[in-house]
Amino acid sequence: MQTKQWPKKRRYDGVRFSIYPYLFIAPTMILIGIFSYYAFFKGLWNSLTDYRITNRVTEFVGFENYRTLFGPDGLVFWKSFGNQAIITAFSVINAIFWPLLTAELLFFVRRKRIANTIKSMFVMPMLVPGIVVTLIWRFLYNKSFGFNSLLNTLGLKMLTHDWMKESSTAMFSVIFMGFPFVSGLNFLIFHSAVNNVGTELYEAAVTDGANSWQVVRHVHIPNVMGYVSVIATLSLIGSLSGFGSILATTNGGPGNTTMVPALLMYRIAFTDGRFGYASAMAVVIMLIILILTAIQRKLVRGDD
Amino acid sequence: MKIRKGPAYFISRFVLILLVAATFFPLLMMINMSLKKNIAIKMNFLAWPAPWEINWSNYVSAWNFVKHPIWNSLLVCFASLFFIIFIVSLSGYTFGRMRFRGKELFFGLILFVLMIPYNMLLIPNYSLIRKFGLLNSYWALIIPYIAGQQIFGIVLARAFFSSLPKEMFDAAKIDGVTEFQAYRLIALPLSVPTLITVGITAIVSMYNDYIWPTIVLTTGDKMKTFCQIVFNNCAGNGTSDYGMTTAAFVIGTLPLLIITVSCLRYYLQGMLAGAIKG
Repeated sequence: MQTKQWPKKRRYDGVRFSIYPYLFIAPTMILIGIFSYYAFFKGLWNSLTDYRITNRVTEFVGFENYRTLFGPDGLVFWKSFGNQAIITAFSVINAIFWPLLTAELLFFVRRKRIANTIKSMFVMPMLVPGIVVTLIWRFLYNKSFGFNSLLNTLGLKMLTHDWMKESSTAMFSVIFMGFPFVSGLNFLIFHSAVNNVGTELYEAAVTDGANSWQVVRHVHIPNVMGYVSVIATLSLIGSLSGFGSILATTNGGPGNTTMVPALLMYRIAFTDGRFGYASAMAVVIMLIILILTAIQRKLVRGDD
Repeated sequence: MKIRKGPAYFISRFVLILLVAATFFPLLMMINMSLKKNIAIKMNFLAWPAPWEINWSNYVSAWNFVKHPIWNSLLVCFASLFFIIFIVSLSGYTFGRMRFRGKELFFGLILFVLMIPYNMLLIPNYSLIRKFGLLNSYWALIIPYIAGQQIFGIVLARAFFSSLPKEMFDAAKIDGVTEFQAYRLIALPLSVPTLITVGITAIVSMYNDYIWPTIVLTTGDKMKTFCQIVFNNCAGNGTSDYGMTTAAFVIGTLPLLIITVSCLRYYLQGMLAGAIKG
């Protein structure tokens, strides 16, 4: 009797050695090797040098850049963390509250066709480039038209401002920019999370006499907590390392009322050309991001 | 099953309508402004122009302003996309389906890249591009874009490939198919929807970028990307020709809108599948 016998191959830790896997991932590894890892360590190194955009030769200066940063010259940088804290707190809350609220409200629109139409109305604006949206908001905050026209029409002339150029309203304008913050990936994630809980669970709850609020509280909320945690982390990182929308609107002004650390770093690097000093700032920003995400992960422990 | 139409019902519907209205207000005002003369924007901001009052010259001058940048943007996006799709599918397949030594380590290295903040890489990448002599060329955008955009795609593609049934590949191996053929003939055709998702995500974020182009493309308006030129045009004290600028916004939004809407169904499916699998 003949049993089926596979030819014996030489094995390497249970895996036949083959060059192919390494060949296949080579392009990826080479690219991240250069543009992520080499760049990352180069960034750390730069922060210890007097590297400038114009330098032919750079010199190792030890912790000189960090000493400057912790001295009187670094005051703007540390103050800008205060602005960043306000902006980040609001942007994390906005990234969760408004999309989740909308997903819930939409869940109770039981006529499928209407619900789908509204959903695509929230998806469509996602496709407008971010800078375009930001610049439209900048126009709306303009002194001579935009929201001020709206206020004038309502007879509230005393409330009009040059929103982004007055120091009393600039911060508010930056935080409010993008209202109602629904149109985005977060909304889609919450929408599918809420709808995937399953109609059975929902119907069972309703049969037992649960009202809408109870459905939300006891059926939906426990199921979306995992996503809340992930979205909170992502929007935290995004908000801390992003500076594009402020660069395109207030540019940190007036004075430094809306200055954030990442924007200051960008300006020191590409306006002043002080690469070494800017790298030290980048390192500090990165450390703070790491600490905050670690804390936030501990606080919002989802089921992920 | 019926929900009573109490006050809560009406309030919730009202809030929903308000949210839709607030979402669309800026976009409607963009279109509104693009159709009017500057004087009409300032004097009568909220009014819509009558059809015969529409100032089409906004669109004519906007087109001349952004036609080269849009072409540059699309060229860069599609050139990068070609490489991204190739690299992502190959690496995704390798991590999703193949067994080899150091697999966890390599994948960990890829995931760890997501933890490095963008600002940290800005200066070193600029130095690298300058050292390669690529400043003010398309490659200054394309190469870093490939390096950056591949990560998310690999994570998504790996999840997809590892969800394929093992038997399919075992059967092929018995038939004497090589690794590369298994990738090309079985895995690749099946992964088209996932790769479309990866592609659109990459195109959207490359097209929307304006900070990196502002840093590496500095030779003038003909060699700028769309988002860069509208950003540069409004930076500082800003533009005064609001009609033309908003018309440029509308024109520059269209390519992305057309590309994405034509694949929207795949995009949403793939996006959510990836988001849920994690």
